[in-house]
Amino acid sequence: MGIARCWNVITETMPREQLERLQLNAFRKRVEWAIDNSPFYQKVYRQAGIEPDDIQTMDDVRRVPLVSKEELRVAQQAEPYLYGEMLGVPVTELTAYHQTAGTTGKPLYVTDTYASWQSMVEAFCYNIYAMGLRNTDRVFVAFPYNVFIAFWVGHYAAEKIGCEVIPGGTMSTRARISKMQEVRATALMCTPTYGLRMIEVAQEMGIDPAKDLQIRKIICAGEPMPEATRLKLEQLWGANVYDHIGTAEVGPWGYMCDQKKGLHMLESMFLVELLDVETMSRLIQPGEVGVIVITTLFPRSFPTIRYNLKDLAQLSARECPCGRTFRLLDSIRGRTDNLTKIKGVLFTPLSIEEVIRDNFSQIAEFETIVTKVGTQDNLLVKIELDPSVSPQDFLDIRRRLVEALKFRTNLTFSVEAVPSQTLPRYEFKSARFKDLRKER
Amino acid sequence: MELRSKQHLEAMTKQIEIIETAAEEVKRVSGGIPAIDRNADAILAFAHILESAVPSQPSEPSLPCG
Repeated sequence: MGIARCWNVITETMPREQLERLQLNAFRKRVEWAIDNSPFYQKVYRQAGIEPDDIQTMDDVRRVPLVSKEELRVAQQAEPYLYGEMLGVPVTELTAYHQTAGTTGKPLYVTDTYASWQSMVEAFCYNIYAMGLRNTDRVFVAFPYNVFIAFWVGHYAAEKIGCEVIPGGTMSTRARISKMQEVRATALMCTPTYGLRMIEVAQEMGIDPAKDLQIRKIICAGEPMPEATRLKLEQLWGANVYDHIGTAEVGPWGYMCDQKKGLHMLESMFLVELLDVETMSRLIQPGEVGVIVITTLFPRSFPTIRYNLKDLAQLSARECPCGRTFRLLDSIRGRTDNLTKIKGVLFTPLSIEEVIRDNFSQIAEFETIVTKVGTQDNLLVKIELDPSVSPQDFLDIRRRLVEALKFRTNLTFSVEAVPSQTLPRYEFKSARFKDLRKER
Repeated sequence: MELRSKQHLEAMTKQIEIIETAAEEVKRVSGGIPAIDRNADAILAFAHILESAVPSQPSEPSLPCG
């Protein structure tokens, strides 16, 4: 592979055997470091009888206990405030504060030292370099620049690569679009949901992003992006749209390369295990869907070792033509937390977005609501249609949508059209699925 | 005052020059790998700050403005 397409051709094309040796050594060092420095891991590993020297093969890695966000939350309640027993460095070394979005409960506080933050930035450099960002790009970051980590690391990685970075914080959507036009930004960082929202607002302003703006690369993060949504963004922006995956707890650990055929796992900096959903111990085979368990292999003030992300992903059976030896994920399939049983059927809200974005370009926005009437679960999808859609067309869309959702989920949905611009719009993560059964 | 002796400043300056030379050399042999070059550039950026933080010659007393 051409050196020009890799941030680090040494690690990204490393033979698998060598890469796995590197991972195993780094994993053992992380465990050793955590036992020496983090009271939380000391307790967990002592209880499990784990010693660093016990870890000699990749199979030994599986003996090390998994940790969950819930356990980290509990560990954070101890001293020192805010980070409790998780912390592996003196508080005087901390320079960065972030937190998780809190979509699954109380937010988790995440912190970095100056050095560990630089490793986070380095990891994101792999991501955006593979997506084609270069020092010729002027990158607009459409992100509120708040306590959420999201594009903070993207900002600094773009800067490190040599891009000119335009911080689009605390601006209205209209102001952001005007600024992108004014400075002739060539790349954009945003959530997929907000990428679609900006299209709507640009159109209200009489701007066609594909023609009137110069954005040609879009880096998305913050929420799962179905392929249909990515393709819709590409079409409406006239740009190459890339997905990336990461979390505040572990860092930016996966990225799409210019082939846009799945997500490479950044295996020189993270050990990614995909475990069978039922047993949570067997490694899945290519083509199967598993739960993502991650270890951050570089030193971090906030160590995450065999951290159960509770995200589901499909491991690809393909090798990427780009030449990277880092394995590929075909897709992210949502969170195990979001898997819910409706009428006895296992359901993930992501499937609704996939159906709508893939087949119904006339639907501008949507929301799914589950309620319980008596003992019966009821599913309703509210849709906002393009104003050009006639009542007759709506009937046809409704019929096809009910059929497509039934085919995809094996569930029966009601569909209701609501007036344009009445459903919520999101600047960051979307919340289009409302399970009102839990509120009873 | 010991820390600011001429010998001490010269010793630090020499070490900073070693950092700079090593970073330049890493860039020279990298063959254009961006991860190597940009991280070496970051080291050089800090080395330049070190250079200005540790002037090799004690500076002349500045004259009052005006």
